[in-house]
Amino acid sequence: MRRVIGVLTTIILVGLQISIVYADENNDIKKHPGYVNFDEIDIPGDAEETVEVNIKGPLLKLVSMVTEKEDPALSKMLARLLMVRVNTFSIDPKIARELKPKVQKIEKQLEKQRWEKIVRVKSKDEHVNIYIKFDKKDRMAGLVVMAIEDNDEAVFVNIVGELDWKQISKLGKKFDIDELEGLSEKEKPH
Amino acid sequence: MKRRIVNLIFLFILIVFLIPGCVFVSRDFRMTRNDILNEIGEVDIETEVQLQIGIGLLSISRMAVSFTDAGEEAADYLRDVRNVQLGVYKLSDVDRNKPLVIPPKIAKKLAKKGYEPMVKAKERNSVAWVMTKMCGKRLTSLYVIVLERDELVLVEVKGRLGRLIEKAIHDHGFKKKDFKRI
Repeated sequence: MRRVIGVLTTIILVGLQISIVYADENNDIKKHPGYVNFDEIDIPGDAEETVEVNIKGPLLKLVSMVTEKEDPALSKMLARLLMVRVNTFSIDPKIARELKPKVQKIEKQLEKQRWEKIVRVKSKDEHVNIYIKFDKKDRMAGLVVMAIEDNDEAVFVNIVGELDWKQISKLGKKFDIDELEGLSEKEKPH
Repeated sequence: MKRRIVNLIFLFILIVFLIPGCVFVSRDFRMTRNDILNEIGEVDIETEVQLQIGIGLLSISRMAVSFTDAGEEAADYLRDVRNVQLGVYKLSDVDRNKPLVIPPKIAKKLAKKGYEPMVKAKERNSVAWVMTKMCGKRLTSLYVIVLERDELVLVEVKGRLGRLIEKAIHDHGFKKKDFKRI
């Protein structure tokens, strides 16, 4: 009986340990300077098309391993990433109007946290902003894309981890993020 | 005649007990199916496939596959799989005006089991979820739910899935359009 209790206690302790480690990993990402909270951006329930992709460290390492042979530089960057989060959903002008103040609120937060705006497109129907965060050692620690096309779709992207400017466009191609196409050809921000 | 019946019974017992769960899917798996179907409302369901393949049957499959043309590679991938649960259900009379929804409680339930959403994609006539479960740095389980107006597909695969996923990523990449077509 004592042995059974001992085994059960060990199982419970191991289980607790695993759940603590698991929770810590999630909290660590949230504390990372490159992490941005998009929780305020609710995907409208009646949106016709939505895609939410959330790939974290271990899976990114897998992607990195797959990419190693064909593109070692991209693979190296992928191995250093902690999270790639992409939320895309179809919108109409009404939803776009409701979204814009929320996006502005996030933009203000980003500016307060010293994120650097590297792309800004503002036209009648289109609103695209791309931000980059540098850490204390002046390394790129995160990237954010917020794009709203009034009659088409809204795109919210957050990439957390050490980024290589030259590989960002390739990363966009890999994860189907159109907004990142051609970005690496521009001059690297400082 | 009597010996034949005894042999058949013996074979049946062997299949049911020595090859774990070769016929019946788990209670959790069935509950997930029921939760999704309850959300859709009144609908006619026809089970096309519902099975669980345990390690025993997978070993036999590996042997069978190794004799085919694409054998060695497929057998190699099967070696990493420990358990598969699959359910394919044909749906009819689904309300065309009602949006298709996988109830959020399923995400909560799977989260309790350690699953995290990797992809959630929705179109007018289909919803697809891919959930993954990691053990440290290893991918140990994959749960796929695809709900369409005429079909529901549930798949749970357990094992060392890193290589399988590597291959899937290598062949298909991470294209949003592909996720919508899952």
